[in-house]
Amino acid sequence: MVFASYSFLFIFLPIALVGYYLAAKVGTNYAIGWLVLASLVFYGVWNPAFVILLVCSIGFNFAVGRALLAPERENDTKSRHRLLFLGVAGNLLPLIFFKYLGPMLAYARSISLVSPEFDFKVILPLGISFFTFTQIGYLVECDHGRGRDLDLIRYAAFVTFFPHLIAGPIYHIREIGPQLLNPDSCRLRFSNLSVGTSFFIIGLAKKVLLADPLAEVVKIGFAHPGDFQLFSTWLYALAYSLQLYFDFSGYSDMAIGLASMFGIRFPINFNSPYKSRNIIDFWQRWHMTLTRYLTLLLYNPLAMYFSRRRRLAGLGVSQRDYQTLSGFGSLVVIPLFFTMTLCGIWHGAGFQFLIFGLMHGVYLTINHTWRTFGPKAAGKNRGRLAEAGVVVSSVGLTYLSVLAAQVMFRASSASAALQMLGGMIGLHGIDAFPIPSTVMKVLQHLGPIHTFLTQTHHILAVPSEDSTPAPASLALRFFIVWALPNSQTIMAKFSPTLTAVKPDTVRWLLWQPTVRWALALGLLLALSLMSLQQTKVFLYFQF
Amino acid sequence: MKNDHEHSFRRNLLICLGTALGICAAVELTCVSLGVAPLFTASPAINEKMRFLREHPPGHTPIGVISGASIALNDIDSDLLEDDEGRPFVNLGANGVSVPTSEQFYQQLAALYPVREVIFAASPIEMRDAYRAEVHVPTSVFRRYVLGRMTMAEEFTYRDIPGLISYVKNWHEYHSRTSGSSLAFTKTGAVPLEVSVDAAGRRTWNGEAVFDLTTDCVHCMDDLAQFCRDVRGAGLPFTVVVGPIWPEVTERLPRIRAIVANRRAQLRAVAQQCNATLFDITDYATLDDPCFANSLHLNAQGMSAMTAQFVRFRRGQSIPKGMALPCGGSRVARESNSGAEKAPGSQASSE
Repeated sequence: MVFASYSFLFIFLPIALVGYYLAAKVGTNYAIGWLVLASLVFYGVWNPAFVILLVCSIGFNFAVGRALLAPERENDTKSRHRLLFLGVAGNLLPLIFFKYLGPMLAYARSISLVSPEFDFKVILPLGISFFTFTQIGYLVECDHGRGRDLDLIRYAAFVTFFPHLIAGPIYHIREIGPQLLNPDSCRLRFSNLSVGTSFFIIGLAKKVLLADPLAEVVKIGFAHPGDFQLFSTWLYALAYSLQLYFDFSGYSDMAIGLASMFGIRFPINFNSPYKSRNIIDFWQRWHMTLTRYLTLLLYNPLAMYFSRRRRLAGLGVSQRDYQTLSGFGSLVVIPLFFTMTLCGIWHGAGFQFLIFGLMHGVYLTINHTWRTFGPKAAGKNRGRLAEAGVVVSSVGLTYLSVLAAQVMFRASSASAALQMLGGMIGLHGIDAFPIPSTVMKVLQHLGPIHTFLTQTHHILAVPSEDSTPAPASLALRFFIVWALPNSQTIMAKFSPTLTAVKPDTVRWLLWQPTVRWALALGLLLALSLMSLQQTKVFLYFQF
Repeated sequence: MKNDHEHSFRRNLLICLGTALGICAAVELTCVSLGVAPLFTASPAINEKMRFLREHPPGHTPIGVISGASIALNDIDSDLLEDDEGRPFVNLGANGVSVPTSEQFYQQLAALYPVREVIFAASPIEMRDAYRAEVHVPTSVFRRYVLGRMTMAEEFTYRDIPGLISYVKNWHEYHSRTSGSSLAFTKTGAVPLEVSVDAAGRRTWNGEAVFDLTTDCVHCMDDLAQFCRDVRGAGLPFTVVVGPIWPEVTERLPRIRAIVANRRAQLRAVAQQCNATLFDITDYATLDDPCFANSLHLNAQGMSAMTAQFVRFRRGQSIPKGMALPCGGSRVARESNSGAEKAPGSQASSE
């Protein structure tokens, strides 16, 4: 089921909410049980058969978690680690089976490693990466002694809670567990409903009004990556970048809003990533819970492993040792590349995803290299204008780097992505810069300037076609991205998230339970409801 | 104090939801009272065509269906055919639609009204595997809409803001004829494009756009063959009509010339395989430059000239080969009475 659909908004959500708060009057356990039931229905609407997989996965992980928390294993680290290894393997096997086996066999067929008749088609269960990661995280926390208080029904709610089930955020048991145990979470509060609804509406509008209208033109651009010249290719790439941004940002807002309606607070997952001044900053703002997860479960253990090895070899791991080539290589670069490669592969089985991960590995390495070995005193005595120039150029450079990787991320194959990137540097020729006809009419009054511009073929009036992204609509979206505060900041005074956010914007842009805000968001909701017809599924659903 | 706080949140929530639902209801009521049709696809042309069907429902007499993309609208004057043969025709052509959608559209109509034959207008270039922003209309929805049986709530689910804006724009352009490419349906749903050389986009004329279109047909010939088999399987005649391409494009662009030749051969093969009738205008005649609205489409005069030959072909009359059909005469007489348009040579009478 998609959040942005009539069936979800007018049938599922009201029933789930009313049932939850009615059940809460009987008892907290009933409310949590209702939540699990509603979440399984939410999941089962897509494909009822996979509810069994989800339920089995929950049962398996809960059993392993209990075993990890058993008193007899408290001091038996080896036994716990063996069990943890088994638990993680038990989670990864279905993930590999469903997500990677088909593409790997297809590749093996293409290079004649297996017979062409050996075909293997499998449907990827919705959200499998997310609920697998969530549960691996749970097992690791159990290994650290957390999650002891959670019974099966609350654990099931922790995994299946529908606002996060399909595409995150990937949260930890220490964040959600105490909330599920607290009976106060199930108490009906209009503040939760009002704040949650407002957050949800902002997310819905981002998805329906800003992301989805770009979907079709993006599809055209990426279906024929070699057919377009410089400016057209840029428009398609920028359109995708904005579609992905508003799609994921919208989803994250909707998830936070929905959770708030049920009295649960989520961690922030998306924090204006295109405002990042460098790639390290970008990954701390984009899919934040995935970054946190990968850092905790991949990067840190690997960095610690290399630290131990260095210590055993008699080498240091101090700050100064990080600034040596071997220290930097083993403590930063290797763990980084390993993490980003897996991050790329997590998104999909194609080579383009691997390259996407490696590109970010390279970006992050360059960023860390600059931080470690670059000039330390740079920028201390800069004037305001110079500082602004540095900010603009660093945000611009970061965005362009991200954009190049996103082309790889979206393309159907690595070669298609290279064709697209070739078009962006003019390898397919340079077309006229598209100018809306209305603007051209104004330019006609400029006489010789207009003649110069058109005759030298620098600009060309384009009729508004639905097959090319309109530059003005992209510009409007960039304005929203770069000039306006994000949802968390707008809602900062009543933040329904686990993270405190500074109300760092002008007062009239800060949400309050006033009539003015109610009318504004009511209008936004009406516009969104009237645009649901062309709604597409969330881009992150495929992962 | 806490209750006051909760009260303000409750008031906020109620006003917000009430505003949204109120606006939606007001929009729907306004649309219903003004007769604004819901929009089912991102293609304004298909929406307008469905609206046309709702407003001009075929009767009980079996109809001849003209099918295809914009070529169906611009190469075949279905009004002329109807008047000449004294039998009803419906032109289902809509700009940019794919071959599978053309068939779906036909199947949906055939489920409601008796059909006696299908004429598919094919272009060697503009045949698509998929419309650029296609959204299929479920048959049940098509049926309820065309028969005027949808409820307000159902109609509301097919409204959207871009669609309403598009509706206003199209209504203005289609019906007030303010655009160089304005469209106004005739009594059978045909609509000759009138694009002057000045008004046409530069890309359209220099062949770049034509080149883009050639990449959109990977399996459209298979789709056409399937369409033909389905119609023939239902015991109905199927005719493939192949229109001309502006000669300058094929002369100047050898690659396009090769594609056109190849596609014409494929169309011939498809017609032969499914036992359909083929009428390729280039077998008989060439059309003067003034017959073309742009590289691909004929204007009203061109359409009339080509259809006149098609009428002779259908009558079984001999058509001398190698003639040049002129179009450079007086401008097409237009009557915007009830949105109807008469092509020269047509005996069509406005409704």
